[in-house]
Amino acid sequence: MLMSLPAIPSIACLAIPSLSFACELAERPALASEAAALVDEAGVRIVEVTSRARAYGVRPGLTVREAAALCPPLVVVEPRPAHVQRIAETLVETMASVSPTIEEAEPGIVFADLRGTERLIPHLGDLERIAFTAAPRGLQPRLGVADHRFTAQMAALRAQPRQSLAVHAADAAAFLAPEHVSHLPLEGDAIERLLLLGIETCGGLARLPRHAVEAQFGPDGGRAWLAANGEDPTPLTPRPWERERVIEYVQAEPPLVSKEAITLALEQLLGRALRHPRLRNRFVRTLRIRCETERGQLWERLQVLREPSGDRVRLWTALRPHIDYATLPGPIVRIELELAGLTAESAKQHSLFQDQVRRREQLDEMVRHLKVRFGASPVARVVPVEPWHRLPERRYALMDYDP
Amino acid sequence: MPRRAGSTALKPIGLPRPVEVRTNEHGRPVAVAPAAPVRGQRSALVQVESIEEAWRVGDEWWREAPLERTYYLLLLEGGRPITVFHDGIFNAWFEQRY
Repeated sequence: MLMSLPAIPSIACLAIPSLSFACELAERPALASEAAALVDEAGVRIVEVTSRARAYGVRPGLTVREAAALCPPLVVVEPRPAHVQRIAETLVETMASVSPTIEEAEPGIVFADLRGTERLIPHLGDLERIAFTAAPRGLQPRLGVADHRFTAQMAALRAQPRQSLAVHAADAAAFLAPEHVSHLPLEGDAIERLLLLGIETCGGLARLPRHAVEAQFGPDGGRAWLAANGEDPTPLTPRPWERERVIEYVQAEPPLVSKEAITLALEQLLGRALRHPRLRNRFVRTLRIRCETERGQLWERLQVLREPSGDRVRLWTALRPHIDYATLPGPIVRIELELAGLTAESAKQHSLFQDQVRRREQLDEMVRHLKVRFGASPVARVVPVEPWHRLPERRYALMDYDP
Repeated sequence: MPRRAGSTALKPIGLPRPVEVRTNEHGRPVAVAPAAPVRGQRSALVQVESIEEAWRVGDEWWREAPLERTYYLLLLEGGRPITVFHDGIFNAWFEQRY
């Protein structure tokens, strides 16, 4: 009844369940056979466990102390959000090569709308090859294809590692029937109510009349009922067009500790991003700062401007407070600035009498000439990194001045 | 993947330069060949007249390559002062300029 058929249903789901833990297990395969557990970013609660740890009674939600008391040999693994994000981005890019309409539901779960791609991907095997070849080595991606979103996701979760599972519309309800209701797109308290009512599987919910479910759980219940019947009406929410953003980053070794240094690096990144050809005659609506610590932790802030702007001073005014008031999770090895939500430029009248602006323009012009002459900007800017540091090489650094 | 317009790294100023040092049986410097002004050239060894000061820096023990340095402020023959340190992690000598 369930098989890979040449005609591909319309939605594909590429999934690596528990991506954060999967990334750690991929790098340390020996952990899979040990009693190991992944903790949350705060390092307080257990998020994922191996089967060996589960045998000791360790389960997600316990505190690390409780887990260690239950399982003395427990290996506690800390997450590396920055690393996980990069892997998740790879999965998104993989699906973006398949279809222009993709949605990342969560890190490690990516949907693609396959409608209109029949000639590009005539067989399921072609889709498998694209999806699995690009996935990072050591990870176990799975592919599910179906005519509706929820069915595709469940098919991906039930597929064997590095294999695909296609569920056609006629088989969807039967395929979903044994699945636990906790997978349904419902809030936690609604699922608890379902369990209290003795409805534990999608099949149990699907057997009820739709109006009865909607009467109890409202529109969400109606959608869950459709999902349980293999007719999930939730459409994909495609992400913004890829090319409509500019990303600049700087790496620091040794890691940056002082906010002054991070602020200077960010200011430099802003200048460089604004000079990108993609931003010519365009304004920016969204600013995103990402800082990565040397232990792979991630600090991220998003600023959506009320009015799009291409003015460096205005953008800097919006960016700077994020760093000034930030509590960073550790020494920073990488700072990334993303300018997105690009819009058409609107006219702005500037003052004619600004000496400072003129001096900067003259300097920029001079450096541009030097770049043409030497191929790269020979001018650098001295930036204080940690001026108080007892090691002289940690006090100041050179940063390319590249107008 | 969106095209990244460019990338750069901060380049530290005043990085320590490798230096040749002869030591006595206690591991203290007795002769130093100061780093040549031109990269690639070698300087001649100069005798150490006196050790003016010695101190240790140990830090960043949480990193893969922690800091473990033994510094010496030396007075070379002819009166030239120089600061060198022995890196305990890499087992090498460096000149430190302030």
